[in-house]
Amino acid sequence: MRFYQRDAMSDFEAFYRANVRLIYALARARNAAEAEDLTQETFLRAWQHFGRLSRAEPPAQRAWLVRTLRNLATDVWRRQRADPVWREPLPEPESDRADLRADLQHALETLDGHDREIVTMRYLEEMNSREIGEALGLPEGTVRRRLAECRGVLAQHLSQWAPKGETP
Amino acid sequence: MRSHDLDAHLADLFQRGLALTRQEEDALWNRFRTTSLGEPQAWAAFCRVMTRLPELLDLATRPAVTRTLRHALGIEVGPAGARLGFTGMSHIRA
Repeated sequence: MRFYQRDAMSDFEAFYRANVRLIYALARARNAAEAEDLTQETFLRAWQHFGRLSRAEPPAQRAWLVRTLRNLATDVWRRQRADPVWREPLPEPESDRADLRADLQHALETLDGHDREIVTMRYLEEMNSREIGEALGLPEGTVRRRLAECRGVLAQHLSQWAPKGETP
Repeated sequence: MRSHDLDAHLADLFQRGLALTRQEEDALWNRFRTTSLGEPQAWAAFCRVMTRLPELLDLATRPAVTRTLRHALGIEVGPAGARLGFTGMSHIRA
């Protein structure tokens, strides 16, 4: 049993590290203030279902995580309860990165929930339209159309980050 | 900017601004491991102790230790021991 526990834990850590970047970014895009709690709760659900989840293919695992995150985000306030555990805050990013992160956050807030997920998957994880469609349960053509629209909106809101001499 | 270049530019911004650093990833994992997985780990530790219970009771040869164990576990000599799967209460030398 000890060996089983240790193997399961190390498999889960690999699974966590492979997916946490996307899940944390999606959680931030939905609710920046609760991003850490949403991420933690999503992976706790994954741990509870890891016996089954670990046998799925990575795209199905990712889709499961995204669905779980969405469900949690919709009722985060109801689920939230006093947490006496002291939390170590994430270290603050260096200032230019913090500025970029804040500008990206503002730009994402101009998009609706689905569109935030689509652009985060596209630009952070470099997933293609088919993969995004599979993860979000959307037709590939819809993903492409949404991306085309969002690209312009993002470029407009992030114009100060455009390369020198370039107009987005 | 052409759409292909704009895509590459946006990907660069997202990855510079939103991707977790290794330090951030470690902080999230450590928080998750110590808070969310704390309970299952404690349960696993409890199960490990329980599987060693007969062995631990065999070691309880001194009356004071035995009394403490009996009170702590709420077991009585006799049928309760049998219910716990012991073949005889020689495990507990009262």
